[in-house]
Amino acid sequence: MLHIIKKSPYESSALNDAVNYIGQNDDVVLLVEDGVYAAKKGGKFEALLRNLTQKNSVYCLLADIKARGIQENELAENIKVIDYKGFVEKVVEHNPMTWS
Amino acid sequence: MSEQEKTKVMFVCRTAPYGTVYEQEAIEAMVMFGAYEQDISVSFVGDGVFSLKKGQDTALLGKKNFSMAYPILIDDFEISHIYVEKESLEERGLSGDDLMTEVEIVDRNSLKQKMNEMKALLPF
Amino acid sequence: MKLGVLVKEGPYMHQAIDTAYNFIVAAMESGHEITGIFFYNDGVYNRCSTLEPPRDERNIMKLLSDLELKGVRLIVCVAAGKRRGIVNQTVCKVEEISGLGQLLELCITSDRMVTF
Repeated sequence: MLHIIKKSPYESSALNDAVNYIGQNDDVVLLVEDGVYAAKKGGKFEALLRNLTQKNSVYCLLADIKARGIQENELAENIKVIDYKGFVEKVVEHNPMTWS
Repeated sequence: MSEQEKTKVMFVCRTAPYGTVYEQEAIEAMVMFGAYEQDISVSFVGDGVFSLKKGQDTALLGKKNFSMAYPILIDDFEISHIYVEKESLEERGLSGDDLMTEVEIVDRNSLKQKMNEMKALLPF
Repeated sequence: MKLGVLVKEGPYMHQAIDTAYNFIVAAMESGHEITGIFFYNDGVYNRCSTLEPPRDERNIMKLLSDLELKGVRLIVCVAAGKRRGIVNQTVCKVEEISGLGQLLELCITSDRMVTF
């Protein structure tokens, strides 16, 4: 599954709820819209994401981090950045579920 | 239509009732989908489990009591399964006895497996 | 691949339609087919014909109508629309109004359903 998370983890249970449903292997995570704030290095959710990236690929949507003034080097370790075409590719590869 | 030909769709309800319209409009969609002879299931995760709490009385609120639809979703509207996530219930101080209808209480891992079998997941 | 889209939030207040639009454009550029966009919940407001954003701002109504010209089917839920005043007189195109059965139809005919 592709878990699309679109709410800030500071205001919504989206990330926490999604984490419970992220399986061992081929599940991937995509942070979009305010969901990208989870990936900020030094933030409260950095450890959670670091844990996730041990087994699962975690992506951030480029347009959303840029708009929010987050540079790629400000992202937690091992988080990959993709554009809208990358987003489409992930949807093609995995069945999506949106957590808001 | 054989079971294999049916499309498996799951509503994933994560919002509590009344505070927003999501639960109400999710129910309207469930009722409609039931008429098309596909394999439709409904799951309640997170705050969504509050939708099933028994004893809801909306008279003072001046809204319809939407929870009345759940007990008849399976029998009258051909919904295949109603699942409730066990962990979400427990975290919120609820158990099966607090729910207004017979539902399948399943743990996260089993619900996750059921989600994997779906063709489409519709979050509400 | 055939991709169906469900939009559940209204324009301007939420980013949902902007993300959906950019996703759809990228999907079409990559050669995928968009089976339709179903507007539900406050998403029906995205097809309100009286939207009038300031001139220097993106015009969501027009962006969506452009997608429609490129063959993307836009479907506004009749029940959710009526509840919010999006009816024959206030929707961009009367033919777009349809029932929830169309959402299930998208689930059946699309390889993937994406919710925004």
